Amino acid sequence: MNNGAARLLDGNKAAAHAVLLCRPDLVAAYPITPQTPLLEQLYKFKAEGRLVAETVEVEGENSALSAAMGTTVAGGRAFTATSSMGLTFMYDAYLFASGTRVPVVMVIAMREQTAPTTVSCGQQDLMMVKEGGWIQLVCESCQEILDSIIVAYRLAEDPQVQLPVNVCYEGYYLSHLSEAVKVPSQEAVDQFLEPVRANGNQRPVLSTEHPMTYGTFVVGDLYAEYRYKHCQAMQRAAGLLDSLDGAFAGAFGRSYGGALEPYRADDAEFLMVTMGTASGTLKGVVDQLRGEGVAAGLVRIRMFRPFPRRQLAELMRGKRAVGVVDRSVSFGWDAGHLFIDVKAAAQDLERRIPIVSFIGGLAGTDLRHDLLEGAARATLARGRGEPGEEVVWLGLE
Amino acid sequence: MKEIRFHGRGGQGVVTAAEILAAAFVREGKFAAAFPMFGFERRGAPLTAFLRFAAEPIRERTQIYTPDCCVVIDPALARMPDTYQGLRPGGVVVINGPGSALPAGVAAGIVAALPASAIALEELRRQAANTAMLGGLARATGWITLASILGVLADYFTGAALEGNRRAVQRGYDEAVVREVREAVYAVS
Repeated sequence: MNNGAARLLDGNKAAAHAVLLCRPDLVAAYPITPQTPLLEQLYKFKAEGRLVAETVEVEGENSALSAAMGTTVAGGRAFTATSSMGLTFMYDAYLFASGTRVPVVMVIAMREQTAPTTVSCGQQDLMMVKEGGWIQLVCESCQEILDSIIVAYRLAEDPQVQLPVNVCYEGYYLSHLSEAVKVPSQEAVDQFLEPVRANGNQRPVLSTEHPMTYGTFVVGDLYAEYRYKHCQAMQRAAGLLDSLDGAFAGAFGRSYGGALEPYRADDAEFLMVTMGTASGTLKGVVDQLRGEGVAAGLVRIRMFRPFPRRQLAELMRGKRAVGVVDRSVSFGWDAGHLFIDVKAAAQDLERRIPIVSFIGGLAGTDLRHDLLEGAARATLARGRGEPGEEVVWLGLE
Repeated sequence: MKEIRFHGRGGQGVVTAAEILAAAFVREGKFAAAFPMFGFERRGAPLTAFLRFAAEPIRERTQIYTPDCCVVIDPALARMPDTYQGLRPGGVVVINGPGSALPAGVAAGIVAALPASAIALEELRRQAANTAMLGGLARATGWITLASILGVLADYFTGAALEGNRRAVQRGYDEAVVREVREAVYAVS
C-alpha cells in the first residue's frame, strides 16, 4: 500500500497534484478567483517539465471546456477548472459535454454567483448547474480533493458511465486552506487509474478507421433514448462510486464512505445534513450534544449528483427531525437547494418529520460553531414537537 | 488543539508566515491547518490568517475567534485593541517591537516583542518581518522548535532569500524579549 508522504498543500495545490498524477493530455482553463492558484501550480509543473500535457490558454471558459471535450472525444484525458461566473460563461459547453457523454473532469472552486458581485465563498455556482447532467462530488478536506480527482477519472471514463465529473470545493475555506496531504506515488496512481495510452481506448473515440459522429442533430424518440440512457448511466455512477471508494481504500488506505458519509447517524434522534466544509464543524457540534446526552447525528452528502436519495432516506428513517445546512439559496423555493432534495427524499419515509432549512455562510461569511450549534438545537426542538420556522437564515435574524 | 491568529497587511507575508508555521508543525508529525481571510487582495489592506494545530486531525474550517496566540506582524495593528479580540485569558502575544506595550485591557499572559522589521531590513533588505516573527513565536510559546521552522524554509525560499530568512528566524528567536504578565496568569489559574 502506498499512501504517500504527508506535505502541506492547500486545496488548489492538492487538486493540481492530483491532476499531475492523472497524466492528462490537455489542460485548458481560464483563470478566475478562487481557482487561479490551481492553474498557476499546473503551469509551474509544466515549466518544470513534470506535466507533459498540452496547455491551452484559451480566451474564455466556453473554449476551455470545448478544448477539453475535443481532446476527450479523440481518446485523450483532459482537465479544466473554473468558478462562479466562469462556470455560467461555459454553460452551453457544459450541457454539451454531459449530453454527448464526454468524460471530462472539471474542478469547481465554489464561489458566490453575481449579483451582488463578490469573489467570496458560496455554493451557489454549483447550484446553477446541478441539473446539467454531470456527476458532482463535493469535498470537505484537501486530501479528499486530491483523492476525489483520481477517483473522478475512473468514474468518468468507466464504459458503464461515460459522463463528465465535477469535483467541487469551497473557495478560500478549502481552496486556500493548507493542511497535511498525502501525495501518492505515480506508480500507485498508474495502477489505480490506467494511463490513457495504455488502456487501448476502450471507450468509443473519433477515428478515421471507425467513422462516427458526436453531437448530431436528434429528434423524437431517439432523443428520449439519449436522455433515458444518460439517466441510467448516472444511476450506475452512484453504485460505481461506492465500489471505487472500496478499491481506493484498498490501494491508498483512505475511504470516504462513497456517495455519503454518515457520522454518528445510526442511533441518532435527529440528523443534520450538509455538503462541504460545514460538516467538520457540525461533527464537533454532534460530539458536543452527544456529551450532553442528546443523540445528534450528521450526514455529509459527497455525491450531490446523482443524488443518493435512497441511502439518505434509509438514514433518515426513524429520526424525529432533519436540519439541512445550505451555503446557497433557491430563489424559487425560498430555501436552500440541498434542503429541497432532502425534503423530496423524505417522501420515501413512512412518517412525516419536520425538515428545516438553514441558510448561512453566504459570500464568505463564516459558518461558525455557535451558528451551527444553534441550527442543531433548533432541529432537535422541532423533532420534540416545538413549533418553528421552516427556513432559518443563520446570522441574519 | 491550539489556535493562532496572524495580523498584518497585504504584502507583509502574513499568509506565508501561517503556511510556514503549519508546515513546521506537520514536519513534527502534528496536524495543522492554516488559511487566510482576505477581502479583495491588495497591498496594504489589513489581512488575517488563521492556524490550528493539534495531535489529532483538525475538522474545523472556521475562522478563529478565541485565539491562544496573536502574532501581530504590522506594528500599527499592534496598537489597536481590536487586533486582540477574543484572545484567551493568559494567551500569548507576539508583536513587532521595539516596544512591547499592549493596548489597555488586553489580558495576555505572555508578551514577546522583537524588532522584526529591523531584522528583515538587515537580513532581507525588504519589509518582510514575517519569518523573524516565527522565530519570536517559537521562543515565546515553546509550541514548535526552531529547528522545525528552519527545516521547512527551503520549501518556500531559495538562494540568498533562503539564507536571509534562516538568519531572520534565528535572530527573531534570539532577540525576542519575552515577558510574563503575572496578573493575567493568575486570572486563569
